[in-house]
Amino acid sequence: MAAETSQLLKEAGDGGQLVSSVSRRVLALAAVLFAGSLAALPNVFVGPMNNDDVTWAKRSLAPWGFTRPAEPRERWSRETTLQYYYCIDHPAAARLVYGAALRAIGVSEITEEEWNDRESIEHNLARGRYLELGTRTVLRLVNFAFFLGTLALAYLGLEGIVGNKGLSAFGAMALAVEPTMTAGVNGVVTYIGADAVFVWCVVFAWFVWMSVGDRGLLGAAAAGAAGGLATATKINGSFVVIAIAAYYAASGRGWGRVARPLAAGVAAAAVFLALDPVYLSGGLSWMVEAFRDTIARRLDVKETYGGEAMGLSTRIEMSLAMLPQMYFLAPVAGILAAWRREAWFRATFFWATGVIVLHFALLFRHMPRYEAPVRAAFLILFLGAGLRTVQEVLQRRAEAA
Amino acid sequence: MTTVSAGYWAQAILVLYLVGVFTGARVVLRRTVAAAAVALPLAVLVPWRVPIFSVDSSFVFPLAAVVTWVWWLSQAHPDAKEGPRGFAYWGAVTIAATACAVFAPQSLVLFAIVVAHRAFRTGGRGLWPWVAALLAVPAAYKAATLIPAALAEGKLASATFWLDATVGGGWNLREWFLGTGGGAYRGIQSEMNAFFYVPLLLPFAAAAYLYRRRWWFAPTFLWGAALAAGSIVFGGSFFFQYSLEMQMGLLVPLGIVGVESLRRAFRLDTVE
Repeated sequence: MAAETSQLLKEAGDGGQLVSSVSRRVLALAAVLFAGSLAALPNVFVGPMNNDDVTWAKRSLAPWGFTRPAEPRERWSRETTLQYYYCIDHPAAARLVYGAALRAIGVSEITEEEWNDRESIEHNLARGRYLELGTRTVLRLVNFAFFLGTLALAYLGLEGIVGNKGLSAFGAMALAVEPTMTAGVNGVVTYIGADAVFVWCVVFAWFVWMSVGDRGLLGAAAAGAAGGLATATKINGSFVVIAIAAYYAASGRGWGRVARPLAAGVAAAAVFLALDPVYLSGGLSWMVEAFRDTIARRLDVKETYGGEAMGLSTRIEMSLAMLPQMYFLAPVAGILAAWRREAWFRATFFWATGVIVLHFALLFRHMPRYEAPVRAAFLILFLGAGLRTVQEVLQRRAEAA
Repeated sequence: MTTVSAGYWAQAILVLYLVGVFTGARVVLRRTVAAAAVALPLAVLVPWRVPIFSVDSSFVFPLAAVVTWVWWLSQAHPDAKEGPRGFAYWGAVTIAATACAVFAPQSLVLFAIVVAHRAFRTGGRGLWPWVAALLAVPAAYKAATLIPAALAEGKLASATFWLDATVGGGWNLREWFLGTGGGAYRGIQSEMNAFFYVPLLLPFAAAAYLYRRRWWFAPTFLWGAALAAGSIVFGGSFFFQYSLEMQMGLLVPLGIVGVESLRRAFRLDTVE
């Protein structure tokens, strides 16, 4: 037995493989997903409920599209106004996903009243304004599935950069244990809302961009379409589209400098509008009005829940709370700079910088699920470069030995 | 008569500590802007607006620590004089080290690291002035000042008493940092920002490894490791935001490596 093992090891050393490359990838992915499950699953089942649970379940079962009534807005019925609110408060992608999950388990209507922030917790609880446990758990399992999908994309993307399965698994595990994803209150997995789907979409856009982004107009359109999907989940997905367009404008040559950003932008807009028919239920003036309402709703939320309530008075304080890794700016920049000429770097840098900087500029509240895409973008960019640094050191040591 | 409040003293001490960090980084990196890049995150992390009601060793220790680091750098510098030095020199070092040990007894941990590194490098030759100046005299003086209290409390043989009264106390500024932001902000900080730096450490360690033969590497990284380890062991905290020692121990060595990595990447002059 020992002799057989020794022979096998010798073969492995001679270039044979005890475990095939595919099997090692499966093992590494399994390790990453297991770590993610350990970190996130407890809160799927026992995490505290959230005020918005009923609202999100209701809006997920509401009709997808919006039929614009002929009469002026002041005369809209309560149902029509509510349906319009559901359509413009958040884009439709997460609603569609949740709606499909709820219908799959036979839930076609939510009868509970929505939580009212102006009334006391006791009063809301007494009126039964919370989601039934089974329904809540199913929606959280949907979040959990998207979380695992995010980890798988991060792993595969990092493997594409580093080419080492163990190191890539380490990188993806950093995302698996990221508290903004797994926190009990307002974490991406726990909160029933658009965030789990959104973070997946943001990382998916990077993955598509990395995979096919350099294949001419079609590659640019594919990356743009993935960015459009992110925008159709949350409006700040547009940061990804802006980053993609800026990248092609900066890195293109000749007519490509204009055509590729254009292709990305048109593809993003097409996906967004296809998934959000509310903007197409009238002429151009209606579309402008609906977009204006969408932005006004965001500004209204900002006004109500601004950073001052969190004891943060400046944009720098807010940004450092959002991404405390910024304290390590010098070593992070040093590591990134070393790998700036590698093929993967520019697209990943534009993607991550777009997501991080625009969130720094516009995000108004310190909250785990809001900050998750910022953390994901940072970790993927930094670990891509950081794990290449680890690889360089390992190679030097091997050569020295 | 005008009295100066504890808050002013504490902030004056912290300004001096930041000047010390800048000076050490300037000695290593030889450029003002580069040194400022190392010191800036530490300045941002100090919650200047939070009121302070008393000054204890947790405020003085950061200053003592950077003084120790800058002095250690001066010993390790390629131009530093090797071999024994005069009585006056070691006398001054002894007085400074004893002052550090009296106001911030945690400094004895750093002194022990300095002496151990010296012993490792030289094989113990010419070590006695180092031991006397950095360990024997300061520890003996501090112990002498504590004996009356130990006798009064009947704890002369209590290891816990001696540990708490010397190297075990004042390793974080938890109460001070608890004054930052609102309650909701602090709640989120402790839930999701306590260990944010941990996934970064492997790449940082790899980047630092590339500079392991530089003259400043051992003093800077041993000093930083001692501060980080002390924060964990004695302060009982990995929490970056609560521990000035953890912040110093990570940000100063890694900041220097970061600046050097940037220079290397852009082919600027690096520090040999």
